[in-house]
Amino acid sequence: MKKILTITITFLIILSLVYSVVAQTEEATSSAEASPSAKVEVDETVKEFKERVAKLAEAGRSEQQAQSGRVTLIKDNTLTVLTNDNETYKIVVEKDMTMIYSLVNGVKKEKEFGDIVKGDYIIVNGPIMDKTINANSVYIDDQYKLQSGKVTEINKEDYYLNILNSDKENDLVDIETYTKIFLINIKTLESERIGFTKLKVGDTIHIVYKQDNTTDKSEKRYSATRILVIPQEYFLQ
Amino acid sequence: MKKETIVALILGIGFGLIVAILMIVRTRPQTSQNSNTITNSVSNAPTKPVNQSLVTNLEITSPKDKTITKSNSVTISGKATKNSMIIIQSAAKDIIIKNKEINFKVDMPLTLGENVIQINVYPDDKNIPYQNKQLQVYYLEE
Repeated sequence: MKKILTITITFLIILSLVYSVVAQTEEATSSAEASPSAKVEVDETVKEFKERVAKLAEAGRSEQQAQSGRVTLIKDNTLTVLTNDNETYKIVVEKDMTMIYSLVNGVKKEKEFGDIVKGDYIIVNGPIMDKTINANSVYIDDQYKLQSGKVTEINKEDYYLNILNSDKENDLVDIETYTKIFLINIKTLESERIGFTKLKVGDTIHIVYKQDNTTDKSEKRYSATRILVIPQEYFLQ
Repeated sequence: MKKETIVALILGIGFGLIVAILMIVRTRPQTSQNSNTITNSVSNAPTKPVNQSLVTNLEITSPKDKTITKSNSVTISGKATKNSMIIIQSAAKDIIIKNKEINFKVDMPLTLGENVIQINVYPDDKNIPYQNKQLQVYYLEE
């Protein structure tokens, strides 16, 4: 009996010693791991704070900041604008203080606040503070967009192209009478004007188009203003 | 001390050591696994594969996005992989150049109002992927 008791006690003593050593090592490891993450968290908070202060200082210092977007709401002397980045800005227009112009078709004309309608694309110039812009000037403008992709289908009856755009989505590009198409000479890198019939499936194209809110076209169908073609031979060189 | 007690002590120490060795051996893989995770997470951070030394990420040094200017043109300068076909496109104009050096510089005409400018880079080495960047420049004459 005494023998068993001695064996058990010695065994337990050694076991408890080993356990405490292992536990201490793990604790030390976890505490050592926790400190860098806590430091990173503090660093990020400080960074965010610094960025916010810098932003506010910049807004106060510079009046030359601009933002553009489509008017979604007009109420009293304020406009609500949705930017291309899907951010909403409140634009405060001061009567007799804010200058309003139209730049549509490249011609600058003076306008009134009442000329701005919902859906207009505008550029606003003025100090920006927390998504609010006290407008120095508002410009009603055309919105041009750029897209690129590979031609996957050419419809020669209805004059449109089906392209796989850079976001791997399909777009329909209408070729209008005003659409200008240019082809890059892969040796000289000069571009020359070509006709619709010269386009080939597999060509890479860069498109400029005007975003038109007055038509029923979806976002995935647009009329090209200008197309620059990189022939597929360029990629086989 | 009795002979029996000494034998019991030796047996106790022996068992204790065996269990201790087992515990150490079992916990060692966990520790090394933990350190592996850390090593992996560090090694997963952006590293350059060998051929990446020839690749330059497209960088536009000037102008900054949403710049306002009173001039009807802007100088676009930046960095891109050497010997790339660079297409700079806006509603006003398309400019196509080949950069013999990493740095490039192009004068781009502007139209009144917003100018969305896209810089597209097609490296000569077709294994290097196409890159592009877009910026908005406002030409607002007062």
